[in-house]
Amino acid sequence: MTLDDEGRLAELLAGTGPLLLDFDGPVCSIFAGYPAAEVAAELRERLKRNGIRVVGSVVTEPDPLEVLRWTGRHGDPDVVRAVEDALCAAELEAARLAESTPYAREVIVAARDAGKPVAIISNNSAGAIVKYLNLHRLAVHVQTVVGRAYARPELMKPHPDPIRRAVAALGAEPGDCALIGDSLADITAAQAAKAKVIGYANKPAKAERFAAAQADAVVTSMSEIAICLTRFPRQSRT
Amino acid sequence: MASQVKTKTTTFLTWLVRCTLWATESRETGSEALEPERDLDFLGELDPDDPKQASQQIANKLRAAILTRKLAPGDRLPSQPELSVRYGVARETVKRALELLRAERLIVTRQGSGAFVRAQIQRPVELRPHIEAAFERPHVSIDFAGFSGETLRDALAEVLDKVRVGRLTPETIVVRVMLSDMTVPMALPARAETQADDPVVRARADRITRRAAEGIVDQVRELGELGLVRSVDVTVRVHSAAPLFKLYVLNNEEVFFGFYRAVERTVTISGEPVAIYDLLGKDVPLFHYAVSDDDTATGTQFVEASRAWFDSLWNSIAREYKS
Repeated sequence: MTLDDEGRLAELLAGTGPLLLDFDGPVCSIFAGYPAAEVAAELRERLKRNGIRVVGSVVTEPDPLEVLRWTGRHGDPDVVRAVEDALCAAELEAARLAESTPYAREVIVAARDAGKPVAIISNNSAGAIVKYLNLHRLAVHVQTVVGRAYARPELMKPHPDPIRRAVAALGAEPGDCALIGDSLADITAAQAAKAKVIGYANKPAKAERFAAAQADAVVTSMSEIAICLTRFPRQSRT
Repeated sequence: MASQVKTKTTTFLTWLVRCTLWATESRETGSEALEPERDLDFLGELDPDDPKQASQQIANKLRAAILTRKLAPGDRLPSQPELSVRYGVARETVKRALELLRAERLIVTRQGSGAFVRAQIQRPVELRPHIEAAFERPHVSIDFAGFSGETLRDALAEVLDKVRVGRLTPETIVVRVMLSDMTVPMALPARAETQADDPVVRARADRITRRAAEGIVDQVRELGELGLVRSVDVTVRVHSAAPLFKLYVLNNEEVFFGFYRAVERTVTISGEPVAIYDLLGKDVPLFHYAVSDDDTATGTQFVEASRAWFDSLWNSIAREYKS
């Protein structure tokens, strides 16, 4: 991280209030212990049992969220609900085995200490997120959790809907919020909602793509954000 | 046996409840004429040879009366006119004296009703005036048990300045400091992620502890070396139990007790951000207990039990502190 990057990040965090975190990536790796590809295969099984012919790229799709998205485009509401339920159940199981992202905890706690409300905004289900936060004693630091809209995969990021819901729940203005995300969908969603966005490039190739997508700042480790936040004056806790 | 324990618990709880109420809320005051005659001789007179300002002298006398419980928590102080007649000073002077006590949070004032001794020493804790009052005795003893002694060091710094310039003249000072040994595994502080002991987290706590402990030792010893105090004895010992509360015993007759809270915060250790469960001690309320003539009073018993607890650890698992 160059001095210039550091300055840009500090300026962005100083100029915004609430911190919105994407879940899978910035907070944890949700499918670390229950591989995503396994979940995706189970969802395909569910589709077949519901009489849906699984064809095209979805046959080898490793991301269960993409299988859900595909179902939304090709299945009727009953099938979407069946796949949604199966995914929610799998995510709950996965949350137990999820692997914490290095320095995610530090970011959440430092943000709270700096007086910034913290919200989690995710395409994963809220139940799984809350379970993870409780397991890791983090729920106390998080003000709002916005998960995937039930059986409405078309509202997942890059749709701005989750960000708008979080902003409304916090009683904030979109422009006062900064989202930390590790995908282009996060950046697109934030920009559509007129929120600021920090790209978390957890793979080297992502940094350039996030910069090209005009993320307001790009980091390669959550520790950069944590260190920046610890320099803010501590707000009194209540 | 069971009923005896219950009685004591009930008394303690009643006391706690009483202490959490503001004096002004727990007490309705009638007109002054209905107040019984009070013997106010303990308020004394001003010393014309004392170089201190009259307001300062009055504040000192009232503070001493409050700390020795001659004016008890919830008691109404003599009115401003009463005090100005007693000491032969202007109302303004009395006002300034009361202002000092209010700043120390020893009293609260209520429009139209006068000033009252605060029922609870609430935050921010002002330990310093109590330590200063303790130093007005010829033989001073301070026992501290807790995490780092930072609060004690800072409070002592101001009080010892007054010894240096001769405004306080104790003959002997005995200070015992008993801390948790941050060089051995501890339940608190801990790394938040694992909820477990972490040498890196403890090393940070050890630095804070050392700085405070050595600050206390240095400044007290200096008074002896300068010959300002006839005898000075300051000892630090450590033990392996985690710090969960702090306790000050002043001159064996006053105790301040506060609970440390476990709070999560992100700190930077060697450039790395680390979320830790830390001890919050600075802003927690301190409870004040003092010995009175009544052997059965909670204050007397709490001070007695605190001294016994301190001595038992000091003389058993507490070991020499290597600086």
